[in-house]
Amino acid sequence: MGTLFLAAAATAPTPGLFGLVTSKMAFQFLLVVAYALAVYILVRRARAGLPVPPIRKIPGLEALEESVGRATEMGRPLMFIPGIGDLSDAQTYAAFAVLSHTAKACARYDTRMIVTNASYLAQPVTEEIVRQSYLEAGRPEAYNPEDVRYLSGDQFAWTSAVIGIMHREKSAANIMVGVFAAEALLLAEAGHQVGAVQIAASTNTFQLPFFFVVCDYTLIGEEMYAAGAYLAKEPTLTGTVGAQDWGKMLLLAIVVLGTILETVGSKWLRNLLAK
Amino acid sequence: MDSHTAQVWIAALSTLAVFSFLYRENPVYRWAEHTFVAMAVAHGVVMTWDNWIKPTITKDILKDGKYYLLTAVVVGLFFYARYFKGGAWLTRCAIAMTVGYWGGYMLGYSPAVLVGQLTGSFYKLSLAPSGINNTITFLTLVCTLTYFLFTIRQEKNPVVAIPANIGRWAMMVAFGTAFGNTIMARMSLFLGRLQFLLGDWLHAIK
Repeated sequence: MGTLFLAAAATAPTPGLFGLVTSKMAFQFLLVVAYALAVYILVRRARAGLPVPPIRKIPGLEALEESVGRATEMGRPLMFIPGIGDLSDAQTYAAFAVLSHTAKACARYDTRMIVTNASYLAQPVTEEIVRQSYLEAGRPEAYNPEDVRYLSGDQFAWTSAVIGIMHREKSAANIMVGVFAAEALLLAEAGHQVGAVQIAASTNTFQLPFFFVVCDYTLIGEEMYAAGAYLAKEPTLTGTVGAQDWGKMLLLAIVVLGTILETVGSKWLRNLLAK
Repeated sequence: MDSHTAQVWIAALSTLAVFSFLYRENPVYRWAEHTFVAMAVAHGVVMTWDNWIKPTITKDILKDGKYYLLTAVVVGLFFYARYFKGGAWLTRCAIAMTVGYWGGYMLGYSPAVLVGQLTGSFYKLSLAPSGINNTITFLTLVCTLTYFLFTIRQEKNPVVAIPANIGRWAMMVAFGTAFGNTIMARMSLFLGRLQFLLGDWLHAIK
């Protein structure tokens, strides 16, 4: 993802006045402003106690508590695997939101949770999140810093270590949320071998099929980004998901209109967006 | 035994050590796992020192006089502050700066990617054989995007429910294709290893 943004930066137009005004970016600027406005309106509504649209049921997230409960019943640990991404990837931030919720549930049920990091930047962040979650759950003494582990920055060295831990600790539940690439099937298969209930989430369309095949629940792409708001059940956060839906509906309308115009031979909208 | 032969033997035995996991987790696999992790750490340290830290200090800062880079050095050192009592807040500052940087960067550059994708989704529809792909792609796009509307209750709204359902099926077809494709790639990797074991190591095949 970071590479994608670097590539985008390399092809972006040269910044003009004060580094802010650039040509051929007007629509993009308006898009960001419109989205920010939508978020502002819905958050204001939520804060004022007015109703905001609720998020539809997402089974994979409903099953999170169930997986913690299973680990508790079996007396075995839960493994949280935040993927190989670092702080430059939005999926890692989505993983943090799920981590916080899972850590609180583990603290409440007195279930051991092992976090396995591949990013040295994500390591201190996950440590803080887990520590804070245990504190908020009223069980700071149950937090064990040695269970939040940095294993390796190398993709397959990390994978081999995660698989090894999975087998040695006999994890009862695996939560895999974040950036996953070629190691997705190796992890999910190892989890299946130890009989763990598995919940996975990714936006990688090449790895999602493996999660579908092996895991009990899979969150597809965007569902992962809605997880924070869904789990927190906080109206202000739900409002941001509502704003994202408004954005998606706007984009949908633009695609439909653009396609109709393109079909009748008009390039008007295409040229307008390029301004 | 020359160095090349020794290298082949080490690679072959390491491959077998990893494959032994197919039977069960065992001390041989554990040896391979720990060796792999240790080598990755060692390699990472050397690469970071050689490619980043050393040239930044010797060339950028000392030779070229880019003293402003010392700011980044200080912020980087903040990450180690959490190992000292009362220093965790400094680490949180460094984390906040990193998160803030990437947040701003994404906000600044992701719309550029988005608009390209948007205009790339304007299709010229046609029912003629040459244009049928465009029509299928367009319908799949609209239906799949509808599936990802989270705040509209699908069960109460058939205008959303029907395309969302079609979108889910379309995604499953796409994922099925990706699954088959990736499995073939994995088989190819496995065959590569077998070729190495049977050819380079055992000389049983040419």
